[in-house]
Amino acid sequence: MNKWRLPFLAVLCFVSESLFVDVWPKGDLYVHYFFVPRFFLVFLVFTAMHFGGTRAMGYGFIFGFLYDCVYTELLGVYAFAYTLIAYLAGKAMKWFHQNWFVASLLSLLSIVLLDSYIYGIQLLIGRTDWPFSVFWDRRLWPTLLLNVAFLLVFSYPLERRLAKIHRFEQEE
Amino acid sequence: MPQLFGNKRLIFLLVSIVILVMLIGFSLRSREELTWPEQFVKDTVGFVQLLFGKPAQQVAGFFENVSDLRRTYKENELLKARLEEYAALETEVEALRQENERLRALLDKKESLRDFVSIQATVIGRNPDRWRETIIINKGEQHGVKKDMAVITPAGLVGKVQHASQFTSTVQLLSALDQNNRISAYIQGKENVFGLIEGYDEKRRELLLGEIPIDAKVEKRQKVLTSGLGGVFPKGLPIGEVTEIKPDQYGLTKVVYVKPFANLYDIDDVMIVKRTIDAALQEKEEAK
Repeated sequence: MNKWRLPFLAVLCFVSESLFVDVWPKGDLYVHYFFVPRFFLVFLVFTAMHFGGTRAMGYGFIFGFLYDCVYTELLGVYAFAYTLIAYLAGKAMKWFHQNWFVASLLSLLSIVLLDSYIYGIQLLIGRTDWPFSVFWDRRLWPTLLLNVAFLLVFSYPLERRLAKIHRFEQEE
Repeated sequence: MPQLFGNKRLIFLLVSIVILVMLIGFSLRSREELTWPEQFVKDTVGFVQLLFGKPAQQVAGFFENVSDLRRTYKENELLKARLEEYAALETEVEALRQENERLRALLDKKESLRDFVSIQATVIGRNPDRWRETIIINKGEQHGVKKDMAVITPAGLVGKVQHASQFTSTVQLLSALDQNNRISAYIQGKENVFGLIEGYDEKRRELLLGEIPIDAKVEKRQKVLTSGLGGVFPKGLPIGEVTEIKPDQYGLTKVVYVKPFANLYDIDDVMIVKRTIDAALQEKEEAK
C-alpha cells in the first residue's frame, strides 16, 4: 500500500496540469497569455529533496516521456528535461539547507529553465517565430505567476505529504 | 565547489542529447500513424484523465452555470425574437430539402459530398504547454475515427484529427494550423470562390484563406464553408465569415481574413464528421 503513495501523487500532479488548462475559463486572458501549469515539475523538485536525485530522475524520465507521448507528440523533449532537472535538483539539495522555501525557489528556477529550453526547441524546429521579448511577456511571466500562486497554496501541504510518505516508507 | 558532472556522467549526458535529437527528428517526420506503444500510452493516460476529469469538470460546470444564470433574462429576450425567424426558415429549408431529394432521385445520384455521419465526443484533456493547441477527445479508431477527419461544434469547424489511437484521439485546432495541414474551402456567393485555409492570425484571431484568384469577387460578410475537395472533409461545413480582403505579398493572389463561427478556445463537446461517400466507395471496392 505504502509503495503506491508516491506514484499516486505523481499521477495526480501530472493529470492536474491538463485538467487545469481544460477547466480554466477561456477568456481574453487565456488567449493572450499562456499560463502553463508546471505542477509536476514542482512535485519533481520536492521529491528530489526528500527522496534524493536518483529516484526523482526515475519519475522525471517516466512522466516526461508520458508528457511527450500524450501531449506534445515530440518524443524525448520533456523526458530529457525532467530527468536533467531532477538530477540538478538532487545535486543542489546537497548544498542547501533542506526546507520547503528553498525547494520552492528551486522549483521556480527550474520552471524558468524548462520553459526557456522548450522555447529554444520550438524555435529550433520552426514551430514558433516569437522573439524572446514576446516569449518573456506572454509566456514566462504568466507561467511564473501561476506557479507562484500554486506554490503559495500547495508547497507546504506538498512538503508535509512527502515527508509523511518518506516516513511511511522508512518504517517498512 | 563540488563537480556538477563526473566524467562518466558527462558522456552519458552527451549520449542522451544525441538520442534526444534523433527522437525529435523521428517525431517531426509527418507520420501517418503513431507507433503502437504511443497509442497504448495515450489511451492509458486518457483513461486516467477521464477518471479525474469528470468530477473536476462537474465542479467547474457548476460555477459556469451560476454565471450563466445571471445573463438568462437578456438572452431569453433575444432568443424569443430569433425564434420567429427560425420558424419561417425551417419551412423553407424543409421545402428545399424535399426538392433536392426529388431532383437527386431524378438524376439517380444517391451519394453526395455533403452527406456525413457524426460521432459525438467529449474533450478529456488539453496540451498544457500550449505550444501547439491540441485537445484530446474520448473517441478513437475503435469508434471509427481516422486521421484528418473534420471536427466540428454546432457553430462550425474547429479542427481536424491529428492522430487517432484506439480509444482516444488528438485534435489539432484551427488556431494551430500550419502549412502542412491546409484545408480546402470556398466562399459562398453567386459564383463560389475556392481557396485554402492556410493559417491563423493570432493577433486578429482570424483564419487566413489564401490562393484566391486576384480577379475573384469577394465581399465582406460572405460565408466560408469547407469545399470537400481533397482529404476526407464533407462539403459545406461552416467555417466562418469574411472580414477583410487583401492582395498577398506578391500581388498575384488574394488573402481573405475569415472570422471563425466557432469559438476555437472554449470547446467541451465536439462531433467528428465522417463523410458517407467514402464508406460507400469503400464498400464498392471491397465488393470487387
